Amino acid sequence: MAKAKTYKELRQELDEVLTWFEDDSMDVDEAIEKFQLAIKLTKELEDYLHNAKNTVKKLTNKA
Amino acid sequence: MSEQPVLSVSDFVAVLNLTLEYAYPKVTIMGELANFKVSKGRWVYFDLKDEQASVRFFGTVYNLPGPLKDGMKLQVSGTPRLHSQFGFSVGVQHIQLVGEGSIKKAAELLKAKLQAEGLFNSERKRQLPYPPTKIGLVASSESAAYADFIKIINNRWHGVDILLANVQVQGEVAPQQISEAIEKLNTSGDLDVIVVTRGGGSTDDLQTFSTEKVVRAIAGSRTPTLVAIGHEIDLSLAELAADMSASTPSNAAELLVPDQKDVLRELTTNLETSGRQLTSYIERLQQTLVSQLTTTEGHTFRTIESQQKEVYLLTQLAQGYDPKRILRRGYAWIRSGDTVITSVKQLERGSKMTARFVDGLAMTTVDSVKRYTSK
Repeated sequence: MAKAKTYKELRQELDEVLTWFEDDSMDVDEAIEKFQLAIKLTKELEDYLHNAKNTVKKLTNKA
Repeated sequence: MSEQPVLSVSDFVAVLNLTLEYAYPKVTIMGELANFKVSKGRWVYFDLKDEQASVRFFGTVYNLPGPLKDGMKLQVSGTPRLHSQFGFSVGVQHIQLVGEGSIKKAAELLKAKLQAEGLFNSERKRQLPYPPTKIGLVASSESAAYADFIKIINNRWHGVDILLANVQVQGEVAPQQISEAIEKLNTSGDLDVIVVTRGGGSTDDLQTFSTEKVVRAIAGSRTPTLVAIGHEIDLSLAELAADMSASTPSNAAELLVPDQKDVLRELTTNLETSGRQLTSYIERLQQTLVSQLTTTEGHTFRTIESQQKEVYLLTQLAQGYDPKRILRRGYAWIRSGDTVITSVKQLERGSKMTARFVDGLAMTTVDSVKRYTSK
């Protein structure tokens, strides 16, 4: 099973897609495909932010 | 009456040291620094004095909180000992500055020294990953600073792993614990940032963060650092050496991670913007297609119009060549037998001709022929 993507990876991927839309010379089929990808990545990021947990561990061998 | 034992000098020194070790294993003495001297870059000698007395101290540069100057007020912990050749001194274990004036003076001296080494230079500052996924935290787990930091991180962001190095943030052991914690965190996996924090306190409480040991540990950290000491006036030297500083532990958490609510809003806005860009692009495409179609239509129309004109002109021309149309205008078509007569050269007196008019024929005989003389 593929390792779940981190926030950083998902965000980077989404930012690349959003930047792609800044370019005027896009192809319509590709644009629709990219937009669907942007929706998917946004959903994954929202899920990540809702479900991820913070953890605190103590460094062993007390300093 | 028992007699006093007579001791050799060496025995006396040994006995006295045993007594001192038993009675005063460690003493802490406060006084004004005098005759401060560093020998061979390693050994440190100085006196602490008050109005009536002066005590000699001996230690190493590693015991120093930073550069010192005569006149500063110090609290020094150490072991009293009578040296067999050099006399009485206290072996230094820990030096703490006392009083705001001394602390500030020491901080100024250390600042000048470290500044000269470039430890506070802005070009040394590194960018902190935003948001980080792994944070090393140097703090006292019992402190309000720790609680505030964790609370704000939890309120704002999810998905962060925090590795806590629980340390004392003031007192004798604090500089050593903090510098060791920074070093350990640097070797404890791929941390994105090391945060060193504590709440506010007096100048005396906060002097740990202006000690050479702590400042050098922060400046030497391979992982980017964020130092947040809860005080308003005068930055500690640790903050100057860090890649980033924050005014309070809560502020440190706010600088480290975004607010999740803002990010969720931003994600929605970004998607809407891209949707609008896509719609606008499709609309532009449609406009281009309509424009191209209009151009093509115009071209076709103009081609047809031009061809219609051509046909009309040809018709007009063709009509001009209609013999009946010419005959109607008063001309006649002359033949002699089967030959069409186009010149008087073809005729002579007596030649028979048939003249065709628009409405009939006339048979004639030539009476005479007269040819025009060309000029």
